[in-house]
Amino acid sequence: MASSNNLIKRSSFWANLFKSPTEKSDLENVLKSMPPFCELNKKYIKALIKIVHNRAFTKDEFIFLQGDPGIGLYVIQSGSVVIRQNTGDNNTIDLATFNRGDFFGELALMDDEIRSASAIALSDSEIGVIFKPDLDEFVEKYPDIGIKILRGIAHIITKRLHRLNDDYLTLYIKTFNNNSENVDV
Amino acid sequence: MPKSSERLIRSRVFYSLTIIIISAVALYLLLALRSLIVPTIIGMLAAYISSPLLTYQRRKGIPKSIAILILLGAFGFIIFVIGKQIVNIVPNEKEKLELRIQVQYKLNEIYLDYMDMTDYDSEGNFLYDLIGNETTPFVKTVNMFLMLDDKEKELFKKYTTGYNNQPPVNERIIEYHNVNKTLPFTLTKDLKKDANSNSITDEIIPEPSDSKLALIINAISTWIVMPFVFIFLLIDDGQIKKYIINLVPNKYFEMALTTFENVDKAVGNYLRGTFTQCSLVGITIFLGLLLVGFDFEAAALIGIVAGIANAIPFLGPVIGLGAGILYALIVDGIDPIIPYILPSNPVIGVLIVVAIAQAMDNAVFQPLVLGKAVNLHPLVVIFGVTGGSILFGFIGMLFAIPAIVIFNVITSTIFKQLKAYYLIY
Repeated sequence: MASSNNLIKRSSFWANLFKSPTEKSDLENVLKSMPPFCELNKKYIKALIKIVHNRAFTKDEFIFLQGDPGIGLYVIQSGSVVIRQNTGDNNTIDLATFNRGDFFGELALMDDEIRSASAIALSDSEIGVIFKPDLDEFVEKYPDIGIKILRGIAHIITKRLHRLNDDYLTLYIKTFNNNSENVDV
Repeated sequence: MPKSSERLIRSRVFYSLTIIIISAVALYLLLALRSLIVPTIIGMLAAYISSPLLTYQRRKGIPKSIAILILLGAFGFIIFVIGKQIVNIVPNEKEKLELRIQVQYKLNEIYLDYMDMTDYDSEGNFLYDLIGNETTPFVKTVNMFLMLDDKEKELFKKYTTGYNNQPPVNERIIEYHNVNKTLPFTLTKDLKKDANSNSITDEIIPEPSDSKLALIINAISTWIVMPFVFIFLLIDDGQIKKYIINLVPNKYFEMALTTFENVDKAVGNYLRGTFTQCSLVGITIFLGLLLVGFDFEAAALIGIVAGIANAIPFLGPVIGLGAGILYALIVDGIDPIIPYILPSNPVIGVLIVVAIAQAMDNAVFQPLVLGKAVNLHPLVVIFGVTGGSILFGFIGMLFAIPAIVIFNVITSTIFKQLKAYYLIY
C-alpha cells in the first residue's frame, strides 16, 4: 500500500491515468452544495457532470500558476488547496485554504484575465474542473438554467465585493488613525 | 524503499512497452486498413460540418436521436441523388460508341477550323505552319485513341438500325461517323492498337456486369463505416475529448484544454466555411450553365465537380473551368435560355459563367464565410496539391489543403498556448 502511494506521489501522470472512476454521486453532492449550482435539479446536475474534468493532484503540486491564462472553475472533491500569491521579491502570501466542497478560480468564468495567484495542492487532492467554453455551451444549451448559474456566480462576486469594501474601509480607517497618531507624535 | 522504486521502474517499463506494442499494432492496422481511411475521414468531416445543424435542431426542441436521424436522412438523400445522377451519366455500350464518335468529330472540327484545313486539300494557315508539326501528332494520338476499331465499327453498324432494344442511332452521329472515316491524317490500325495498349483506361474500365457487382459490394463494405463514424461522432457528447484530455499530465492540462478548444473552433470554422463556399460556387456554376443552355444533368455534374474542386485554391477554379470547356467543346444542340449568347460557341458561355462564379466567390461568398483566415502561400498550395496527388491520387489532391490548414492551426495553437503558459520561450 505504501509503495503504491509512493508511486502516485512521484507521478501525478500515473495517478491521473489510474485514478478510480469518479463517483458521480459524490461529485453530484459537491456540486449541489455550491451556490451557483444548488438550485439545479438532478437532470441538469447530471448534464453538468458530463462537462466536469476529473483530475488527481499530488501533494505540493501546482494546480495553476500565477500569470497563467484563467480557463475555468475548480471544485475540490477531496483534499485541500492553498491559494498563494507571489508579491514580488520572492515573498508569498497565502490568501486562502480550501477543502472539500469549496471552489476557486470562478473569476475565470467571467473574464479572460490571467490568474492573480497560484493554486497548490496541500495534500493529495481530487479536483473537478469546469472549462469556461464548456460552461458557456451549457448555458447556451439550457438558457433558463444558465441564468440561475450566472446569477449564482454574480451573487458570489457581489458578496466578495461587499467584503472587499468592508476590508477597504477597515484598512482605510486603520491607516487614517495610524497617520493621525504619527502626526500627534 | 528500494523495493518500491523497483516497482516504480517495473511499472514504467511495463506501461511503456504496452504503449509501444499498441502503437505498432495501430500503425500496422492503419496501413492494412488504409482503404477505410477515406470513408472514415469523410464521415468525420460530415459530422464536423453538420454539428451546428444538430445544435440548432436541439435548440428548437427536437430530441437528439431524431435530429441525428434527420441529418442522416438528408445526407443519404443527397448521396442518393448524386449517385443516381452519376449512374445516369455513365453511358451504356451504344452511348459510349456515340460519345466517342461525337468527341472525335468535334475535336477534329475545332482543330481543323483553327488550322483552316476544313477542306482537306488546303495547306493550312500560318498557325498550322507555326505549330502544325507539333500539334498534329498529338491530335493524331487522340484520334487513334477515340476511333472505333473494326469490331466496334461492326457493332456501331448494328446499332444504326436499332439493336439490343436500343433506338436507332441519330442521323447526326452517323454523319459524324462518316466524316470521321475521311480525315486528312493517316491513321493505321496498328498504331491504334499501340495507343490502346499504352492507355490506362483499358485497365480501369470494368468490363462486364459481374465485375460491376463486385465493385459495388467492395465499395459498400468499405464505405459502410462512414455512416457509423458520422452517427457516433454526432452522438458523442464530449466523451472522446474528455477521454483524450484525461490522458494529459496535470502540467499541460489547462493548455491542452485550451488548445483543443481553439483548434476545434478554427478547424470547424474552416471546414464549414469551405463547405458553404464550395456549395455556393457549385450552385452558381450549375445555375449559370443552365442559363447558358447546358442540359440539366451536364450542368449538375459540372457544378458538382467545380464545387468540389473549389476547395483547392488556385487550381480548383481551373479544374471547374476545364470540365466546363471540355463539355462545351463536344456538346452540340445548345439552347441558351438567355438571349445574346451564341449557341455556336458555348465555350464563351462557360468562361463567362466561371468568371462570374469566381467573382461572386471573391466578392461575396468568401467575405461571408467566417474563419477564412487561411492565407497559405501559393507555393505551399502548389506543392501541397501536387504532393497530395503523388501520394494519394485525386483524394490526396483534394484533401491536401485542408490537411495543411488543420496541421497549421494545430501547431500554431499549441505553440501559442505553450508560450501563454510559460512552458516554452
